[in-house]
Amino acid sequence: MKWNKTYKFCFKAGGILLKRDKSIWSSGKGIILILPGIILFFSFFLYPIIYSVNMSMTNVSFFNLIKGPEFIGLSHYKDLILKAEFFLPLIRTGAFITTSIPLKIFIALLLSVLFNSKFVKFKQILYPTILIPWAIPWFLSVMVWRGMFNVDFGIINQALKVIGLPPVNWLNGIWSAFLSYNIVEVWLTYPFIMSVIISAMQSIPVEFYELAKMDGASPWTIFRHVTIPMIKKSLIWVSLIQVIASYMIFGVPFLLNRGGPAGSNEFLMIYGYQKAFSQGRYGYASAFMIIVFIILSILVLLYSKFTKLTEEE
Amino acid sequence: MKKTIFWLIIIIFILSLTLVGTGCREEATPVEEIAEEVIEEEAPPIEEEVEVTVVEKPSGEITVWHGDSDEVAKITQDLIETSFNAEYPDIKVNYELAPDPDRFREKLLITVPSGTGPDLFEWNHDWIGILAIAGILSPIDDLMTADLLEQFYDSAVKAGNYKGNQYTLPISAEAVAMAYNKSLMGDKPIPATSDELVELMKEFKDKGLYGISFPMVPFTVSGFVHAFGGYFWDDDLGLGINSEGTIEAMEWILEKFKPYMTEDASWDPQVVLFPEEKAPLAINGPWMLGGWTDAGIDYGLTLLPKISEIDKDPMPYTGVKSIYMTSGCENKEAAFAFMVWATTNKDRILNRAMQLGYIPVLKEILEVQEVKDDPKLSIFSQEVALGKPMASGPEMVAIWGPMQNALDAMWAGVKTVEEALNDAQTEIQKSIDEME
Amino acid sequence: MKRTTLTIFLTLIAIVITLLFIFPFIWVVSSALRPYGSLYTTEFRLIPENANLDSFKWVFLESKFFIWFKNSMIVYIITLISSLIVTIPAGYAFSRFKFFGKNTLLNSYFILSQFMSGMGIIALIPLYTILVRLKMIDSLVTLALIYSASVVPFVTWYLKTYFDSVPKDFDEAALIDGASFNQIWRYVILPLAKPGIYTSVIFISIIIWSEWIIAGILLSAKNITLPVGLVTLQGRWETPWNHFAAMALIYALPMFIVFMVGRRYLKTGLTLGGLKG
Repeated sequence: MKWNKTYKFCFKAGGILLKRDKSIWSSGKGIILILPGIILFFSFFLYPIIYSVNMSMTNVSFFNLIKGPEFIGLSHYKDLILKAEFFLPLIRTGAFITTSIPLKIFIALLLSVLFNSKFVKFKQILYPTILIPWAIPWFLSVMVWRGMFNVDFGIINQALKVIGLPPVNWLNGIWSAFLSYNIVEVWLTYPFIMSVIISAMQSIPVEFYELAKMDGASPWTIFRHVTIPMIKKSLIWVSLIQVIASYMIFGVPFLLNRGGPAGSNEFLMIYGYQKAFSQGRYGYASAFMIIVFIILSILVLLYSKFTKLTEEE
Repeated sequence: MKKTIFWLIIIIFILSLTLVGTGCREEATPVEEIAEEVIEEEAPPIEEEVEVTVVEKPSGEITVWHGDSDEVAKITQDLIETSFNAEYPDIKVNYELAPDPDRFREKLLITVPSGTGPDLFEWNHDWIGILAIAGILSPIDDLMTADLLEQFYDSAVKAGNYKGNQYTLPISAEAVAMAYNKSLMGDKPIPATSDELVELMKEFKDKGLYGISFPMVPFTVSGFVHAFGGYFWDDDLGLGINSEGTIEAMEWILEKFKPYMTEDASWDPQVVLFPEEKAPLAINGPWMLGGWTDAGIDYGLTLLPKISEIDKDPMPYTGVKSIYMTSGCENKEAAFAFMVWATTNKDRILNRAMQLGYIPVLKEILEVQEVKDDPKLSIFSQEVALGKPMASGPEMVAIWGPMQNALDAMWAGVKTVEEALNDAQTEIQKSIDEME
Repeated sequence: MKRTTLTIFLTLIAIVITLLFIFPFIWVVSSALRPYGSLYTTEFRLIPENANLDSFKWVFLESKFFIWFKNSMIVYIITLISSLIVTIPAGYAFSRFKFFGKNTLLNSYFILSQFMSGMGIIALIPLYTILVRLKMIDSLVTLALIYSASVVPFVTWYLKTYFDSVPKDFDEAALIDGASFNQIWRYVILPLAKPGIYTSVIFISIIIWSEWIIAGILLSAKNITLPVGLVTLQGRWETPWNHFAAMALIYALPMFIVFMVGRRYLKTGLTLGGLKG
């Protein structure tokens, strides 16, 4: 393959530079190594990114893509921000993030404690089994959940009936739909979060526990003061990824009920999608996406300041 | 970090500003060329080609996209080999399945201007407006002849007409009707009026089943809406989502049907009821028949029940499955030859009619005895006769989404009928205003 | 004994919870066994009435599964190779070297990687027009390159964090011993990086194996990959859920194997990679 040859060349060049350079870890070699990645990424995505910015300042839509759209400057941005069409999806998404992240972490944490506990037998079988959902393509899982949530025939309501509880109109009520998104999201992400947490737990040196027990600490105290601090780093990392993923969430609410009964649960990405593909307003949707991106960057910035993120070592 | 992002954004903005002037135009140019070609081709007056007496038969390769299942497509595929190629041996036809329906419009939008799209495609006629405005279609006015159009029913031909240009040739028509499960019904009389229907539904609901499988989608409720004097879109009257008749019709439907149906009236759950024999009746169209036969249901068809309160028959929306020519089509003669064959070839039309219940719009087929005697064809064509063709303007397409939302909301009780329809009206009106 | 009771109790709970959580998966298996497919069945039975393996037979004998699988595998292998070749050295470089613009680029990568899924769809139209002009459309290789390009930010960032946890002393020691760069690479760094590489492989695999939007737009019917094919099984009017479920199960199998095989590496990879703070 072409890449291999280029690579061998880069290595040889790197090797030569190495022998010449006194400082081993100097600029030249570093840049050579990262260059292919940059080239690969930007050759495919630079143009679309710039084009999107371009599109966001025109009135391009399904109807005039072929004929040639007009430049309209920042008028889309004005509409989005001043007419506040943007804020409702934003608030809904915010509500979703604040409910789903704690829920996911909490449940994954519980599961991790359980499956890491020495009191549970058959872990070698149970642990891989409970990770099975991770291997299932997500859109299939969502389709299955959609069937299970069906108000008349879905498993969940039928189970409720058996217990004697009233059926819930999962996908057609504003709050029940919101809850159903949370349930499915937890189900989709728990394997990943659980793996991270359990890996972190298992890397805690045994001595810490022994010391704590010698001091007569109860299990709960051990958990609070030994386990949690040691896995805090991983928890933060995983939470960050989940926050961003929740901010961009699309597949789950879209496939379940297209954003709630009559658009009441349209989160950011769904709103953008509808504008782009249902109404064909590409320019407007691009401007929307750019605002989303800016807000995301600010979020990440805040989060990183708060947790001293990519601090250089 | 802040500085980084700040500079990144500034750089991107500057870059794009410099590209704005050039970027847009550059994209449009190659396509504008094609568009100009198309316009130029329309220029020659019609007198020059009254009859397509080709000395030399058209040749070349064309691509046709269809939306049929494999089995149905196979029929056409075989006929292409036997019948079409016999007449036009030099035309190679790629009869392919169109990419998924949700993305179909975008795929056309992207592929046609760049020449990688199909030459022809088969679809319902309601897309003519938006596709024509977007520049995806190529009118066939100069290729068609008066003789050719004579072979079809007027309304079918008219469906392919938008703002004075003819864009399609019609293949078949479809409308919804009412089906009943013969074994579940037993000796019971088939309801002919809505009062009878309600009684029947009540009976079945009391027995623990459901009254009817009636997906609440704009297409299926259209019949009742029209009967009450309501309308979705009228070329003269404009948008009528919240007109009196529409509101009345929807309130009537909720009152009469809801007590005997499932909580969830959306397409997927409803469609399952009939083949799983949980409901003795279904309101749906000919596209369901294949699945019902597969499920082993012994079904019969009948007209939608007459609305007792106003003594009127429902007038359902009819769709005309048509074949379109795209603006990216270069070999127009070959493509048109196929268009004509696909719509007038007796075997193909007859086959689809008998096997699938798609009502032929080719006059001579309707005279064939087989067709006259076939019970499902007779019911569907009666419905077509009673019904109204969907408008082909771009407004139709803007209606489906918000109207569906309104139906969902009013069925779930989240909004009242009037609220839901008013909201839909406002939303659709906004979309329409943004279109032009 | 208190111990034993606790053990039994917790083990039981673990078993129940496991069953509960994998229930949807069991439901899929059940759907695959159904004679007439519907996800909205009106009866609640784990093993359907006329359960049969017809759907699986259909997948193997009648459907286009193998064509789609072949296409997916081509894309998969090319993507893995090209993305790893590009990102592993890059991740290493970010971890070890100092150079101009390093932090900026790293941070940008992190932000870009979160944004890829959203931008991807809207960026599709310009991407498509350019590819058509370059005549690169409808090619599995192009798709593979696009996938590789789209994972560069995240995988590079992740590998950087992973390499950060591999002590630099190893590299330096080997250098002092006079090893050439190539040798250091092959005998010291790569072996230590195995968990990180493996975790990256899993991340990349998940993306490729469930991406259907871009693939659907770029490829023509004869070239489509498995996810696209699966999604297209959903017909306009109804979906043969039994066929869909059967194919989906078989489709999930390779992913499952990849995952099971490298569980060990995944554990280390997830601990050492990511944020250290």
